[in-house]
Amino acid sequence: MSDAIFDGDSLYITIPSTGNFGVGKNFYSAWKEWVALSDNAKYPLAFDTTGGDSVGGGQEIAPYYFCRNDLGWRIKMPSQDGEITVTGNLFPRDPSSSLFEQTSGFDAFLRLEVSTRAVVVEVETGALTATQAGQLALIPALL
Amino acid sequence: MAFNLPTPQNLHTADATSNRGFVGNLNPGIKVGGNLPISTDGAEVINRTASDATGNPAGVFFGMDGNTSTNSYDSTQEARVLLWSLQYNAPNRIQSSNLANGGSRFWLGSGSSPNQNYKEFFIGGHDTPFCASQAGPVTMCIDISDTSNDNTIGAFDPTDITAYAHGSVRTNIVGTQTLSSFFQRAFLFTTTKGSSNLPTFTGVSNFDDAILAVQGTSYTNKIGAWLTKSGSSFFVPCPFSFGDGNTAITFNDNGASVVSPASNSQNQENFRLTNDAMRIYLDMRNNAADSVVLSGSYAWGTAADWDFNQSRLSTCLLSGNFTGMGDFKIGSSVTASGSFNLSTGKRVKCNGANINSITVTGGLNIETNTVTSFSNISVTGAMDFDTAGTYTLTNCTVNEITNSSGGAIIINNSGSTITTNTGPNITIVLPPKTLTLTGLQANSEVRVYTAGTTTEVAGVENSGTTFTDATIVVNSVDIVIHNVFYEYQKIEAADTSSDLTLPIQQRFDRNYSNV
Repeated sequence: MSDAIFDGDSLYITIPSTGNFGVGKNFYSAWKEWVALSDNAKYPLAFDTTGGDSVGGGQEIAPYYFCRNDLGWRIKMPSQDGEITVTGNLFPRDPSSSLFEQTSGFDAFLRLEVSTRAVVVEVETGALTATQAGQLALIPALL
Repeated sequence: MAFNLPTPQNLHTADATSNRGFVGNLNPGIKVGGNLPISTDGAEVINRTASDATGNPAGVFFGMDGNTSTNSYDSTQEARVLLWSLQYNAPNRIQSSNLANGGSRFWLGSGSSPNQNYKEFFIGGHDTPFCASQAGPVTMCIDISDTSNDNTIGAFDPTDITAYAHGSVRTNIVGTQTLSSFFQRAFLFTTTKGSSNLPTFTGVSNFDDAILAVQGTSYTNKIGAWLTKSGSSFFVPCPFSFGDGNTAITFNDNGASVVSPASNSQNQENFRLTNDAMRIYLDMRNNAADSVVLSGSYAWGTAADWDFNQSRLSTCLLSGNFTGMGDFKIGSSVTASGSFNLSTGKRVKCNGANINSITVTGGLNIETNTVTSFSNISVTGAMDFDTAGTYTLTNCTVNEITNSSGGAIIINNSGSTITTNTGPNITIVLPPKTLTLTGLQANSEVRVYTAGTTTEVAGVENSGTTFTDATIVVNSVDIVIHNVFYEYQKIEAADTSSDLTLPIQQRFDRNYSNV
C-alpha cells in the first residue's frame, strides 16, 4: 500500500486510502524519509519508537511506535469510504488526547491490529532486514 | 621649552594718578605702580582708602590696555580673562572690611566714565583668604563676560568695557595704617583657539615652564604669583593651548596634577568665570614629530570645553584623569585611554580618536564613522552614534546606546555589556559563534534552528562525520540530526552564546524499513 502523507504545517498524517497499512513501513519509515526531504526537518517530531532489538534466535523485541500527538500530530482518515487495517503497535504518546481524525463526508472504519507478543520473529523478505539496511548505510562512510 | 604669555595689558608702572577715574574719598598717591618685584619698591601705593572711610569703598579705575587707555572690549563676543596678582601693604594688618561688606571689590567699568558705570564683584574681606595677612600676592581672575557680580552701578554696558579697578573698604582692625595694594602686571587673555592673547606651550615643554614664566627664578624676572606649584600639583587659572599650530611642540606633563579654579566658590570669590574662560586647546602642527602626553590628573572647577579635535600627523596621548571640565572633543590625532568624569551633562566627543580602554563617567558621542571598532571602553552614561553605519564593541561596558544619526546603526557586540538600547533604529548583533558537531554518521542531514523556532541558521543535507558552522549569531539553537538509518535526534536550546562543540552518538534505528 502507499505510504502515509505528511503535512508539517497542519501536523496531519493522512492515510491515503482504505486498505492495509503497516505502521513500521507506511507510517514510521515513511515519516523518516519525508523528514529528509526539503526543509521538513523543521517540523516537530512525528514518531518515536522503541524495540526492534535482537534477542537472538532470530527473534527481536517487538517494535512499538508512538505518534507524537503531544506535539500536535494527528492521523487523518482517507477521503474514501471503507475499511482500513493498520498493523503494528501504534500508540499515541499522549493517551489522553485523540490520535485519529475522520475526514468529513467519508466513513472509514479503522482496525488497528497490535501484537501482544513481547518478541517477534525476524522475517526474511526480498527486502533488506533492519540489520542489513544498517550495514548498507555504513558504506558511504567507508568510501 | 616655553610657556608663551601674551604681552601684558598694563604693567602698572605709571603713576597711579594716571587713571580713568576713581571712586571714594581717595588719595591715589603719586608713586608709580607696584610692578614686580614688589619688594624692591614696596612703597608704590596706587590704591589707598581714606583713613576713616569705613563702609565706603574706594578705588582707582585703569584702562583695559594701560592706565589711561580708552580702548574698549565687547564681552558679549568672547570670554576674556583679566588676570593679575596684587598684594596688600602691611601684610600683617590687612585693614579690610569683611566679605559681606565688600571689604575687597573688583570693578569693571564701561564707556567714557567707567567709574560711574560699572559692575561690582565682592571678592574678599579680612575673613577670606584674599585679605589674609601675610598672604603675599593674591590672584584677581575675572572673566569680563561673567555675570555673577554683586551690584551694578550706573548703566554698565557689557559691549563697551573700558576700565577695571580694585576697590576696598577700609576697617581699622588694628593700628591706623592705610590700606594699600600693589598691582602686578595685568593680562587679558583671550579664550578662543589660535587667538592672539592665548597662552601657549611650545617646544619641549611641561608645566614647570609655566611656573618659570610667571614665578621666574628671582625677583628680577618674576611677573606674577597667580600660577603656582606645590609638589607635583599646579594651579593654572588661565586658558591655554598646547601648541600654536605653527611651532614644534613636544609636551609631557610627567604625571602632574593640574587644578583650574571654580567660579565664585566660598573663599575663592576672587575667581569669577564663565564656562568659556578656562578652555584648553590642542593646536599642534601637521607633523609627526609633534606630540602631547597628558598622563596626570586634571581637575577643572568650571565646565570649560577642551577642544582636542585635531586630526593631523601629530599625536596626543590622554591617559590621565580628567575631571570637571566641559565637552571634551578629540580628533584622530588623539589616543584617549584615560578616565573622563566631565561636568554634569558634558560629554566626550570622539571625532575619529582612538578611544580603546577609555573610561567615561557620563556620556560619549561618536561623531564620525572613520573609526568603527572600539574595545574595552567603559561608559556609565549614554554612548551616542551620530553617523549611520556598523560599529563593533569588543569587551565594552556601556550603560546605554542611542542613535542621533537619523539612519540605521548596527552594533556588533563582541563580549560587551550594553544595558539599554534606547535607539531609535539600533540593531545589536552578537558576534558569530562556531558550532561543531563531531561523531556524526556520514550522510546525515543536520539542521540548526534558532531555538524554539523554525528559522534555520545553519545546516547541511549530507554531512561528513563532522559538521562545523562559524556563522551562528544567536545565543541558543535547536539542532536536528537526521539519517533514516539512525534514530532521529533533536537537541533543543543548545547554548551558542560562545563556541560550542557537541559529540554526537546516533543510534541505529532497528525499526526503520526501507521497503
